[in-house]
Amino acid sequence: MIRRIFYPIAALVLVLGFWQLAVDIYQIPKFVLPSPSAIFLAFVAQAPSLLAAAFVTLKFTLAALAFAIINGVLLALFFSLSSTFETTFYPFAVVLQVTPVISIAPLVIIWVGIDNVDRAAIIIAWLAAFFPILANMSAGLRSVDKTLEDLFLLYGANRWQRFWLLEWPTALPFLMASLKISSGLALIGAVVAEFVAGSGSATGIAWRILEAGHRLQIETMFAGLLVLSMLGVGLFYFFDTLEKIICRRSH
Amino acid sequence: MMMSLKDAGFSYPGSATVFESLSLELKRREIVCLLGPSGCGKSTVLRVIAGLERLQQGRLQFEATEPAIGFAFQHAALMPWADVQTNIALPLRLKGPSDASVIEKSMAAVGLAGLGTRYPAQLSGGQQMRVSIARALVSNPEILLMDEPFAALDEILRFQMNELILELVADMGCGVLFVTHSLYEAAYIADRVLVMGEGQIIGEVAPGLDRSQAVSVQRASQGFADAVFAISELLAVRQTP
Repeated sequence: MIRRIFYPIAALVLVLGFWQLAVDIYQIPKFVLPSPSAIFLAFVAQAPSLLAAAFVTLKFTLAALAFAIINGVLLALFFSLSSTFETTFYPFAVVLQVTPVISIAPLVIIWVGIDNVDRAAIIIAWLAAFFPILANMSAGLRSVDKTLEDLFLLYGANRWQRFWLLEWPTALPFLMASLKISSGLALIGAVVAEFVAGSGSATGIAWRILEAGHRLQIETMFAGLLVLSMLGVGLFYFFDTLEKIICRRSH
Repeated sequence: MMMSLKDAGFSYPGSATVFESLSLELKRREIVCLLGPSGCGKSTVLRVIAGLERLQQGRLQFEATEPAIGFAFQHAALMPWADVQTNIALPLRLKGPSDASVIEKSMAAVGLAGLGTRYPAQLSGGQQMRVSIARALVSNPEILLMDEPFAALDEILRFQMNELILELVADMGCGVLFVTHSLYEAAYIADRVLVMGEGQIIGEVAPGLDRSQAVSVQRASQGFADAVFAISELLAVRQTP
């Protein structure tokens, strides 16, 4: 436990110390590489606006994730009910996944984002988050224990009982694992949307980073990046903990 | 006769016949062992009787119109996300509301009293198998089908489980069709041992042990030795070209 916490912190302190020293000694201009202390000061000075912007991005991310969960789970269910349906539509889901979200983003912005960047951000984040949920949930529904299936058949379980008492609990750990991946992807999607929309219309943390860059406030860019990565880490560990709580008995 | 299978035939689609012209009967309070080499169709016989596979030839008849059937599989097949009592209650829950006292009784019958809130991962292999048996018994079945339920257990545990099955059958009065690979297990627990060759019953042995005697005496008795010998003979005959 001490190793897991102490070692990374020691490494971080060492890197930050080296960084601070290097900037001080070599007099590196702050518009090229600001020192950690300058970044910290920028963060403290702009914390309210940075956190407010991060909250906006978080809102897009969570909204997109919620839609992705609903759509992914439902579509996986339809796939498990009908192999014809799966054969017909799975390739489209794959196309959606393998096409880089950044290349679709401008189109989405043109279609729905000119007046409403929020909606575009949610759609783009959804595009990024959807597939892992669909793929994992499908795999989960397929991995039902054959003997338990026989048992449900033997005792005359109806379709709903089979889903609710057997398939859903079997697939749940798969779904939880996918949320750790998809939450990060949804965040990337939201950031991409803000970048593509450009400054002026978006209000999230990615836009704040972009804006600080245009103004050559590199320390604010770093502070924004720090907030963004903390957001990603927070999301990951939230779903990691949720997974452990929900699945603790079955592993 | 609680259950009878007459001139039964079955084959999986696109593969060779699993069994044909197979007949067997099961009475109340009777333990019938199906014994034979791997792939001879023992498990499929149980699946057909349970209604998990459709019989293609012959007749399957039950004394009751809709007999309650319990099934214990080769591995415990427990739901890892559910505790012991929820696992045991499954057959009742699928049919309607379940009665806690019935579940308590089943747990006590297999020696699991007090473990109701444990999860499968917290149990030993033997305890997991007890849960599986309790689940098979909870709906008070007239016919209990067991497909090599103790194959994965060690010899000592297997002996204990054999005693458990004998006690349960004496108490509950169900008929048991028990598939096993072990001729010692078959010779000990069965009233009748049906030896199966490829898709057919090639002989029957009735060990006739005196259950009033101590376990050790029964296992060392002449009747037990004779039964093992007779089963071995049948299996050896089958192997002779």
